[in-house]
Amino acid sequence: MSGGRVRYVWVPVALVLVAIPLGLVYVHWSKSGPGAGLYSQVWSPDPVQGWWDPGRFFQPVQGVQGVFAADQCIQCHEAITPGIVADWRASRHARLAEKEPVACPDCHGADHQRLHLPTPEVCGACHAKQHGDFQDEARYGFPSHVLAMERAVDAKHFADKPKAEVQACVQCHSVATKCDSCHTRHRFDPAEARRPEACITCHSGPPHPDDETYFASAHGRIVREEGDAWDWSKPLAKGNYKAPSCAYCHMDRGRHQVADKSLWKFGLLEVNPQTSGNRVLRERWVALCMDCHAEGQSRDWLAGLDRERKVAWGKLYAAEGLLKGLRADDLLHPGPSERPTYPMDAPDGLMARARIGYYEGQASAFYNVSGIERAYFEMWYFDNLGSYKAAAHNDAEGVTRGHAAMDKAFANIQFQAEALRTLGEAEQARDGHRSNAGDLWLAGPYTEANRVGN
Amino acid sequence: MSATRLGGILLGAVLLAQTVTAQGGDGPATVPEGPFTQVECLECHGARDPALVAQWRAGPHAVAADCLACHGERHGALPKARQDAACTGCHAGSVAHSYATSKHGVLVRIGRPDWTLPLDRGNYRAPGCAYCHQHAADHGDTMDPGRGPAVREWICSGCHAPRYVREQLEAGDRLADIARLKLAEAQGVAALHPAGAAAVADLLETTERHLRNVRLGAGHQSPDYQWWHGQPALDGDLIRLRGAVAQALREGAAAQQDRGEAGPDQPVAAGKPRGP
Repeated sequence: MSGGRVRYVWVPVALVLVAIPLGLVYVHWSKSGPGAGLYSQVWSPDPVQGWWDPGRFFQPVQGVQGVFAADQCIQCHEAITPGIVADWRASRHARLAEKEPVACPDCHGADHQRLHLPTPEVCGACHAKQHGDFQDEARYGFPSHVLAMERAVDAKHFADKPKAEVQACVQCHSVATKCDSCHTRHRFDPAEARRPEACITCHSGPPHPDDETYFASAHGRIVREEGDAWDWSKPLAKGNYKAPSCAYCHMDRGRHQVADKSLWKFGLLEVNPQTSGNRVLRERWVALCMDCHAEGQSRDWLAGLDRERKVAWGKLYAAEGLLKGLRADDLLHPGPSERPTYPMDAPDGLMARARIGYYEGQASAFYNVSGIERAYFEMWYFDNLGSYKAAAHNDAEGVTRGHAAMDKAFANIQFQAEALRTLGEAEQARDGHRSNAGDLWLAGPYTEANRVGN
Repeated sequence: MSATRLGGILLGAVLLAQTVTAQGGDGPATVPEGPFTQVECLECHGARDPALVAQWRAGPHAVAADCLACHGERHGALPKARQDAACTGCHAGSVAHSYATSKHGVLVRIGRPDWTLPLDRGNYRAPGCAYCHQHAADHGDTMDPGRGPAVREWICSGCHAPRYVREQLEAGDRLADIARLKLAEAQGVAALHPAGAAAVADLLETTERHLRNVRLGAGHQSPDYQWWHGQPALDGDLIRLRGAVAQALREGAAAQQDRGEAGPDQPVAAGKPRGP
């Protein structure tokens, strides 16, 4: 080896040695802004965000001074907020048999000017097992409860939209940052959290109609008919319940771990259900179903879900293909440079490109896009996810309805694609290029407020 | 004491006991159980509780719901009138659903509230419809925006910290303001339609429905109505309106070209969409 070649080796080595620390500095910088997460430099929190993400954003009031003991807190708050005092009195925290009650200062602190709202870490100081399960979800990625806030603030639309608008998002994504999404304050009764109704405030609506599909299933119908008479203080264990609630399956045996059986990933992306890792997850489902059902029957149901997913992804890819064809021929209207960009994507303006499908980030592209892209977003996010939820919860009618909706959406996308092609190709023949959308997508009181308001 | 007189006292006592039971202790001794007609209700309560009847007359229910609609036709049905089921027969659809999916609605649904208690602070784990809208026996709508924020703050702060309540109510206002900006944007876009806004009237109607969902979501604290049935649904309306306008303009331009009029290559949408 000659001396010259040895010297050239140092060039890439030096570049890497510079690039790695620069990258780390950049990530550190991008996360150290007034907001949170990857895009924290481009947004500041709405005033209410401290109630949803207290560990990061809560600021205590300075109006009341003093350090108080529990009986003093109660004396005052019985008059100011009688409801929560009554709730706490009825809670197990107030009636521990062998210990002092867990009272206000234990969770909120005693200095009124330095009060805090309990984060999962505060609850975890006593409920270590549950907190450990919850943190363990992170190993399995998203969807999970523990990563919900992180994923919300790292979405481009969260950084882009007015913060007063996306505070609607964090109300549910706060399941990662506090425990009272399920264990409603100030009673924190597990008997409430075990019931399916405890989940529906967030698990409802077009992309995740868990409430509709579960209550339409045989499981949900039994719980709806008979559940009011059941003793929900029993643990979520084999033999204790005639039919499963959400938590019986998703938090089986009371484990605070909803991600370790997440095989089909919410229906958001296509998964290969037969990887070795996913076979392990499937065995966990089979073992759970066998609390009540025969093994063969359990496997058949799960195989049915695999088949439903395969058919659904066939339909979705056909629609994606139409969109990508239009993109390749510059027939999307407006084109990617004729629509609002995300604040952190300004450099992309040079090579603007429409985002199509999960891996290109279309989950955030539902407001700054063309009609046909929105139609695909709705087919993917509403009709497809609805079908998935119905299939997973064994709501056969919901599957039929969802697939009929996907077929209708596909026909509509096909129709729109033909119209875009006819119009665009005629314009290309006439003018040499597709007509420009002007500022039709860029102007208007909301769009403008969003440009300047962030 | 004669037997007749003793009998009379005993009968009186029995009647009194019955009325007291039926009235929850605060009714007049001579009121029978019923059934009553609306005219009879007003005849008696117009004299006994004039303020309450006046509240009802001035409130939203006077045109659609009489006493019997909520209270039934017999005395003693107060606990029933306080329950959500008394309201959801009429207030169905997105009004009831946005509340039912909120934490308040869920806790009322799965809890066992003691409906014999008055709708006052500290008496309920979570508010039913009437706890907020007919608070403390209000027979108008306690949540009427005309009553001002102080009334809401007082009611919500029975369970929530006063600052929490104030900030959440303000956040709800900001959320609805954003939705109103979207409606204004939608109206501006619709006005650009070559055939006039009437050509997209159905899309504008959907936009208004989604704005209402945002308001219901904020008022009933349902994140699902604030978001999925609300803001992104409005975003979809705006896109569909823009798509319809763009297509009509492009088709118009193509037709013009076919007739040999005007020059080519004009942007399809000059000018900003106008506000309302």
